[in-house]
Amino acid sequence: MNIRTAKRWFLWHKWTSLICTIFMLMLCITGLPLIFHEELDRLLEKQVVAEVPEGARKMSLDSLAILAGKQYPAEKIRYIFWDNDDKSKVIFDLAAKPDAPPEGSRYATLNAYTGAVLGKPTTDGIMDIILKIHMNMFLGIGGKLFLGLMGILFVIAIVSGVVLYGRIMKKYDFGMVRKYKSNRLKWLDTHNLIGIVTLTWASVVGLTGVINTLSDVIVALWQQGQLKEMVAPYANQQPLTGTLSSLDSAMATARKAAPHMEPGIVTYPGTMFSSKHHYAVFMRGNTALTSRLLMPALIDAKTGTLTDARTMPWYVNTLFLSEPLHFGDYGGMPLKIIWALFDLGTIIVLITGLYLWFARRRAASQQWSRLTEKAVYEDEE
Amino acid sequence: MKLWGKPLLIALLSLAGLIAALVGDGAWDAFSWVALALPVIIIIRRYYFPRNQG
Repeated sequence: MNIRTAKRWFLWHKWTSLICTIFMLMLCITGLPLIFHEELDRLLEKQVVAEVPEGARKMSLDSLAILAGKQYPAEKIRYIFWDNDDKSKVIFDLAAKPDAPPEGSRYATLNAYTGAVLGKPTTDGIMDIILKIHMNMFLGIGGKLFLGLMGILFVIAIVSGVVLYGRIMKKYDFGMVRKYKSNRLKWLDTHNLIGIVTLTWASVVGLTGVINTLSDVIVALWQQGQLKEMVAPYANQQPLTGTLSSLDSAMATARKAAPHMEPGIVTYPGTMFSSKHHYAVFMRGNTALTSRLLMPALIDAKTGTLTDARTMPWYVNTLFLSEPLHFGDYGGMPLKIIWALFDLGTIIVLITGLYLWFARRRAASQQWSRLTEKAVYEDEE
Repeated sequence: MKLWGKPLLIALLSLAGLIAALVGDGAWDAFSWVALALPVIIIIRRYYFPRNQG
């Protein structure tokens, strides 16, 4: 590689890093507690365990929905979720309008066997604030997409960093850290060692983070694409009026359409995850991989019959798989600890990188003043 | 190879680890823990115990 190409890589590395570093530091710091959000949620909110009386059977979803509705008389149910780890809990999301923004949601967690209200979770706790900062810095979709852009810069910084690593380490052994020569060399070697070893993790978490920032775009694509196709026969129908069909029969129909799958989410007509005329029952598989990939079964919310059930298009599945790969929540506690260690490693790479930039600037300006004192003008390159 | 051998090995192992936990549970998870713990151990060994290796 000639000196001009190297210089170009160096400049790319310098500028992409400089622009994104402050945001990456914020993301790494807020991301650290988010890795353990399940554990912290349990600690902070003193989560109630759903007591299951001996021999009890699950209540019908329709009667649970009535009980949940009574908690918030002014709002209507729009989503129903099942707790991933605890199937005896059902979470209802209610809002004034089905298409209200997420901030309009009220929640009620019910015991699926007794109908007892286990809690009314809110989204103003400390973990929610940290998540909001991490996701969009309280700046809505614009903030989210901006962080996505920073993620792209981060990935470019990683790629250019690897090229520079190759140049610097050509004559040295892997893993060399020159601790006693100068601070700058020590920090440079630390930056290079941790950077090259955490390369894969940082790239994967960076790229999947970028994909996650595109979630709204991906949902919009799905609405305009597959969802529109699936409900095409309903395009000119009048809006739904009167009572909706039974949830339990919708679930049974969805189960029949997708055997070997379990319902994970039910969305009501008029929400962003369904049509104006359908319940969408999102079914998930029962293996580690297929439980991440949802499959919507659209049930006519008037007649209770199945309209269509299809696996999601590739871009939605990409989003589904990007989530665990970004969150690190898919391999138990040991994986979370590994995630935290890599996160700390990335923080060190960011800080050493920043230090190296300062040190270089200082060195350059000192060199410049020495040169001007002697009145010698030389072009270093 | 002297330059890229080890970084490449670590990168491939990390990638295998990241994917393994996604594909399955149990043994798959355990493999991913080992595969991903290794890079962390390598950093700590190289940084704090540089003399103990070739």
